[in-house]
Amino acid sequence: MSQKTLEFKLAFRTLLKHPMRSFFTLLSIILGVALFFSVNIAIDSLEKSLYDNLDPSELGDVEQWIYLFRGVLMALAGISLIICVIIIKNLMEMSREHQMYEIGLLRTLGMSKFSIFLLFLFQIVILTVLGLILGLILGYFTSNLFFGPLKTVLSAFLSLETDFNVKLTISSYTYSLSIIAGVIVPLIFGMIPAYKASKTNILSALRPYLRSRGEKIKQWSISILKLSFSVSIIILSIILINLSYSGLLGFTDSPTLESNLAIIFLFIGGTIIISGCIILGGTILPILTKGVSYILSPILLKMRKICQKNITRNLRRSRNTFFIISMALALLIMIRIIFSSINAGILPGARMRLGGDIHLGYQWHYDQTRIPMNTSLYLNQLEGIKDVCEVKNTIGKKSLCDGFGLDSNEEFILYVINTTAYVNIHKKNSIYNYEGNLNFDKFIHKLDEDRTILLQKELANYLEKSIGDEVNIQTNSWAFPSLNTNLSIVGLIDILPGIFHSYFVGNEHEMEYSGIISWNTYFNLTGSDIDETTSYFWVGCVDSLKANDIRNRSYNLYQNLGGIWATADFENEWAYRTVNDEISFISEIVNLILIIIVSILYMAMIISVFGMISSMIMNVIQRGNEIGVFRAIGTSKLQILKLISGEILIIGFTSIMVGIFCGILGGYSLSNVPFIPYVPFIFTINWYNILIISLVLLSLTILGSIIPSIKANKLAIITNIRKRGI
Amino acid sequence: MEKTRKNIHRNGPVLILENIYKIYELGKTKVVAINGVSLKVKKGDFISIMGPSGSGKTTLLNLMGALDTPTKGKVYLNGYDLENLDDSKLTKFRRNKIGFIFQFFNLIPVLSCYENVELPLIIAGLNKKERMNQVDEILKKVELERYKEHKPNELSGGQQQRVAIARALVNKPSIVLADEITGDLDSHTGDMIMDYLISLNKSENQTIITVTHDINIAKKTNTIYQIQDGRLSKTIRT
Repeated sequence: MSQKTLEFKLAFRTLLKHPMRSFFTLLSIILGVALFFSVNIAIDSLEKSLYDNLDPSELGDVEQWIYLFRGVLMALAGISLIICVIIIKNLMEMSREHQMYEIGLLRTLGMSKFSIFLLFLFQIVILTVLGLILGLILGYFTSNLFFGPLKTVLSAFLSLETDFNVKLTISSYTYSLSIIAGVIVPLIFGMIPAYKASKTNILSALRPYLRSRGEKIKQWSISILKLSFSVSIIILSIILINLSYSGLLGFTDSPTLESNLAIIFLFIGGTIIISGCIILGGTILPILTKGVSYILSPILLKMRKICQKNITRNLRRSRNTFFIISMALALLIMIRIIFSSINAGILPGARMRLGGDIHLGYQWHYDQTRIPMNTSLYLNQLEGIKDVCEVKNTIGKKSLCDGFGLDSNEEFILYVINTTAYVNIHKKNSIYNYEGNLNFDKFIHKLDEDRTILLQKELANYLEKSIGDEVNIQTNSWAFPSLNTNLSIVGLIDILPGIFHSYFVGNEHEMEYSGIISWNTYFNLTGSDIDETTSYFWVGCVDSLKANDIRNRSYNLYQNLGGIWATADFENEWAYRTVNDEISFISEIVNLILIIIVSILYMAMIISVFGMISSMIMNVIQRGNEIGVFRAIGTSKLQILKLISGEILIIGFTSIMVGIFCGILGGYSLSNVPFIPYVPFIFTINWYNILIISLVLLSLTILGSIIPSIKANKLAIITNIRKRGI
Repeated sequence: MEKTRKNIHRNGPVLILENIYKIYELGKTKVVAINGVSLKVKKGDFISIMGPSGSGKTTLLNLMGALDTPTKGKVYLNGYDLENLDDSKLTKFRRNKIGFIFQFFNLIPVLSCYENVELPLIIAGLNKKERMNQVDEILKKVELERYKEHKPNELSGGQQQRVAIARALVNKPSIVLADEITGDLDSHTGDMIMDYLISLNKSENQTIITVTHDINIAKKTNTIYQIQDGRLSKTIRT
C-alpha cells in the first residue's frame, strides 16, 4: 500500500465510521447538483422545443429571453449550490474538529502536512463523485417539474399563440457546466477545511487547552481580515449593483444582451451583499449573541450566562449554524420582498399605463375624432365612478415643439387633460414623478393658468429650456385642430399616469416626447367648447378592482345613447381596457415567476434545513463528553436540554435577526430592477410572511438540536465522559 | 553541518537539552512550564521523569520529541539542532528517529491492529514486503499476532497499549518517548508493559524516556529524574 492509498483508505473508512455526517454531506451535494442540472435541462428542452415547433417569425427575440431565463435561474440554482457547499464546508469543518486528535497523532507519527490535506480532500472527493452521479440522475428525473411553469411564462413574455410540447433535451453545455459546477464548487469549499487540517499545530491538536500568545494574535488577525474582507465585498457588491443598474437604463419591454447581463449581475450583487453582511455578522457574532442573550434573558433565566459562554467558547460551531440559518433566510426574504414589491406595483403600474382604472375610447384610431366630450357627463352619473377625465391628443409625427418633431425619428405628442378630474383620479394609488417639491394637486393645477404647458424633462433638456421659458407648439394632425402658439413651461415631468411617452423610454434612434396642456388653454387657443370631440376618457373608480363591472355598465350606456357611441368600433382592445385586464395578465406572469423562483429557493431552504439539522446533530454528538461532565457534576437532564436549546435559541434568534436585516437589504438593493416591463417596484415588506418563515426556521433549529440532545441525555454518564473531548 | 552531526552522533549522547525554557500563556497568566532544564541522554539509557500533575513532564517530552519548540535554549537530537530544522525536516525526523507512546494509546480507530502498526512504515515509504516482515516481527514480540485483524475497540486496554508500543518501535527509532503509558492501565497490565520495555531496552539497547508520576513504575528504569515546577531538580540513581 502506497502512502496515497493509505490516505484514501483512511478517508474512506472515516466516511464509513461517521455515516450520518457522510449522509448529510452527500445529500447536500446531490440536491445542489440536481437542482442546478434540472433547471438547465428545463431551459435546454424549452429552447429546443420552441425552435422545433414554432415559426421563426413568431419567436421574435426568444434567444435573449432564453438567455435571461437561464441566467436568472442559474443564479438561483447557483445560490442553492452555494448553500450546499456551505453545509459541506461546515460538515467537513466538524469532521476536522472531530478528528483533531487523530490529525495530531498522525503528524506525530511523521505524516506530512500534505498527507493530512489529502486525507481530508479524499473524503470530499469521494462524496463529490458519488454526489455528482446521484445528483445528475435526480436532476434528470426532476427537470420536467419546471417544464410547465417555464413554458407558460416564456409563452406569455413572447406573446406566443401556438401551443407546443416540451421534449426533454440536454445540451453538451448543460452537461459540462453541471459537471464542472458540481465538482469544482464542492471541491473548492471542501479544500478549506482540508487546508486548515493540514496546518494544524500538532500540540494544539494533542493538547487543545494550551494556547500560546501567537495563536491568540493569529486569531485576532484572522478576525480583522474577515472584517476587512466582509466590508470590502459589501462595497464591491454596491459598486456591482450600481454598474448593473447603469446597464439597465435602456431596458424597455424586451431584453438585450446588456440588460440580461445587468439583471444577472444584479442578482449576483444582491447575493454578494447578503453574504458580505452575514460574514460581517459572523465575525462580530460574540457581540451580537451577547446582545440577543440579554433580550432573551426573561426566557433563559439562569442559563443565559452559561449559554452565552458556550457560544463564545465554541465560536466556530456557533458560526456554522449562524451562517446556514441567516443565509437561507436572507435569500428567501430577499426574493419575497422583490415579489411583494412587484405585486404592490401591479395596480399603480396598470393605472399608470391606462391613465385611470378604465381607459375608455381609442388609443390611436380615427373613431376618437367622433366621440363627443360631453359623454363624460353621462359616465359621471354611473354608480361606482369617482371621476372621468377627458383626454385629447395629437396623433402622427406632424406636431412640433420648438421645431422638435421635424426629423423622421422625432415625435412630439400634445395631450389635453381635465386637470381637476386627473388630480381626483390619481391623488391616490398612482405613480408620478416630476421636478420640484410641489404636491401632485398643485403641480397639475398649474396648468389651469392660461397658455401653459407641462413638458417632458428630457425634451426640455434637449431643447435647452427650463421652467418659465416659452416653447412654440405647432400641431398639424388630422385628429387635432391646427395650432401655432407659444406656451409657457410651468413644470417638467418625468412620469405621469396615462401620458404614454412619459413612461415609455424609446431607443436612442427614436425620440418620442410629450407635453400636456389643460382644456382651458385648449379652448382659449382653438375657440372651441364643450361640444368638442375627444380622444378618450380616463375613468377613476371608487373601487379599482370593480373596474370590469363599471366597464360593462358604461358599454350599456354607450348602446343606450345610440348614434356614434353605439356604432364605434369597440372590438379594439383599447376601447374598454381596465385595470382588471392588466392585473390579471401581469399577476399571472408574476405568480408563475414567483412559483419558479420560490420553488428553487424553497429547495435551497430544504437543503439548508437538512444542513442545519445535521449540524445540530453533529454538534450534540460531539458534545457527548461535555454532556457527560455536566451530568457528572449533578446537572439534571432537563437542565442539559435547557442549556442546549438555550444556546440554539440565542444563535437562532441572532441568525434570524441578521437574516431579516440582510434579506431586506438585498431586496432593497434590487429595488429598481425592471423585472416586469412597466410594472413599478414599490418597496414593500410583508412582515407576516417574514414572521412565518422565521418561526418555521427557528422551530426546526430547536427541534434539530433537542432530538439529539435527548439521545445524548439517554447515554450513560460514564460512556459520555469516556468520549474524547476536543 | 552533516559532518558535525555525525561526530556528535558517534561520540556523544542521543539527546541533549541545553538550558531550555518553555513559557505558555493561559489567558492573562504566564506559565513557566519548563524552567532552565539541561539533560544528556546516551544510547541505551532507560530514563524516567517523575513529577506531579502540571509539573512539566509532558511538555518536556514534547520538546524532546520535536513536537514543540522551546521558548529559549537548545535541543539536539541525534546531533541535530532542532531549532534549525524546518517543518518538513522535523516531520521526517519524527517519522524515522522517534517513537511515541501515549497514555490513551491513541490508535487510529478505523484501522486494524496490523494497519495501525504498519502506518509509520507506509509513511516512511517502505515496500509491502518489508512492511509485512517488520510488522509481523514486532507483533510477534508484543504477542499480538492473533489480533492483527482486530480493530482497536475490539482489544483490551493492555492489548491496545502493546499495539501502540509496537507502532512506536516498528520503524526502529533512535529514541522512544513514552507519556504515562501505564496511566490508563491496571497495575498488573502496567507492570507487564513496563517489563516488556525493560526487556526491549536490554535486548535491543533501545533508548527509552518515560514520564510518570508513579514511583513503582519509575523504579523499574535505570535513571529517575524528578521535575517540579519545570525544574529538573533531583537525580536518583537506582
